[in-house]
Amino acid sequence: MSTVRFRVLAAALLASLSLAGCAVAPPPPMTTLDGRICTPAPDFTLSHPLELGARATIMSFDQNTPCWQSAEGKRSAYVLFTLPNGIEPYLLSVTSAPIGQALIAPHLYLLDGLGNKLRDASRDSFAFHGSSLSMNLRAYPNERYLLVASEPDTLGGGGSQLRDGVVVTNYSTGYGGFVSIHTGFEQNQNYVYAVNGTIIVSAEPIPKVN
Amino acid sequence: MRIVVWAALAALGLALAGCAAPEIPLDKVTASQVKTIGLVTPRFPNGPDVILASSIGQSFGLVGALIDAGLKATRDSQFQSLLQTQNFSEPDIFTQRLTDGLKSEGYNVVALPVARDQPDFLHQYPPAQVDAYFDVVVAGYGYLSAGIGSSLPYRPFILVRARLVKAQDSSVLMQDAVLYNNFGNLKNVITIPADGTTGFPDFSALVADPPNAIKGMQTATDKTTETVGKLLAPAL
Repeated sequence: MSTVRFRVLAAALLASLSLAGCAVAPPPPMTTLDGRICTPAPDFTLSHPLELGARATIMSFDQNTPCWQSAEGKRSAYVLFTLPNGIEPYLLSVTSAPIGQALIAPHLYLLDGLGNKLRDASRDSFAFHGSSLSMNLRAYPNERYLLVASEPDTLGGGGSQLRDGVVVTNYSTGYGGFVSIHTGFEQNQNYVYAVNGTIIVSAEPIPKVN
Repeated sequence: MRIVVWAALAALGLALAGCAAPEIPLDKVTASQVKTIGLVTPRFPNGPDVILASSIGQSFGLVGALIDAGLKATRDSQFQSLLQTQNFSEPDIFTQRLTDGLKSEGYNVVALPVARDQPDFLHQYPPAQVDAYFDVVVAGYGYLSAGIGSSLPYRPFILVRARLVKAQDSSVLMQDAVLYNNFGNLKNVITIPADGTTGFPDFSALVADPPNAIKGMQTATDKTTETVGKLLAPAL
């Protein structure tokens, strides 16, 4: 075996070992809110301000995320945002990204300043963007709060989807050069609708594209 | 280590730059202003693409790239012949399914024939008595494999960009992109996972089974046009 080949293989082995050592297993899907203390309505004092044009706000849902129990007795983990002030419609983006297999089936509500529902959209209005569920909508100045909640009827459900891609790994030859190895993959990604996961929200001006 | 998202497709000649464009949603308020849609002739590439997204050649610089390009051209040509012998025209079927989908959403659809040679949205639309123009660019269609080996089968793919432009003032009412076959982990594109029952372990198996190769394209076309149509049926 030549020295160059040996160094490439050694680098690959080291990279694999170090990656394996750093890997932390994601938490399993949490498919129930049993045992959690849920309030009869969302707590508006917990609302997070959302600024127009600011970086996206990322909220991780876990065992400490507040929950709310509807009059029908259905429970949802939720996060509440105070929407930006303005006089023009703007673009609101809501994304549910998985943590491991756990994915929140989001239900969003747009509320007025008194907390009354103006519009809402269920999981079916979201579309997959890779492994995440996303929805973009035009928000209007009279809409003052965004409530994103886990859909109670979906918990424990889910599915799977094929995902393909290519991983490129660069290895040093040890002589100032690199070798790029392209490796294709196909995965059957499983997802379970849960009350843990990540919700990402941003508010942007509606783009002018022409 | 990095995961190639668009690079593998872009390197193979698909016009993808526009897919980084922001997604602009239609909503019920805006959609209520649109009753009649002018569907301009969708833009299609000259033929199908049969993409092997990773290969040994990619590790060998320009020489490897040239070899890969030659192999791809051969695959594209053979698959094009397969489509022709099966009397399958992706542009015809796609346009028909899209038209049906828009009508089922309650729109009046007026076909507006235009000649187009650029893989991008039109800058001007033909005069017509319509409320909005629907401009669809199919950036690529065909079959895609992530790499060599039977565990990385060839599956159908279609990549579409769509834009709804208001006739009155040329403002963009909706803009999005849809990819059938979830390649990479994309953020600004709606993805539809490929049907796991349609896959061919290698290119030889694909061209040896024309009926199922066509069936795969039909499924991909149905799912893609359905999703594109739903972009004009907002929930909110």
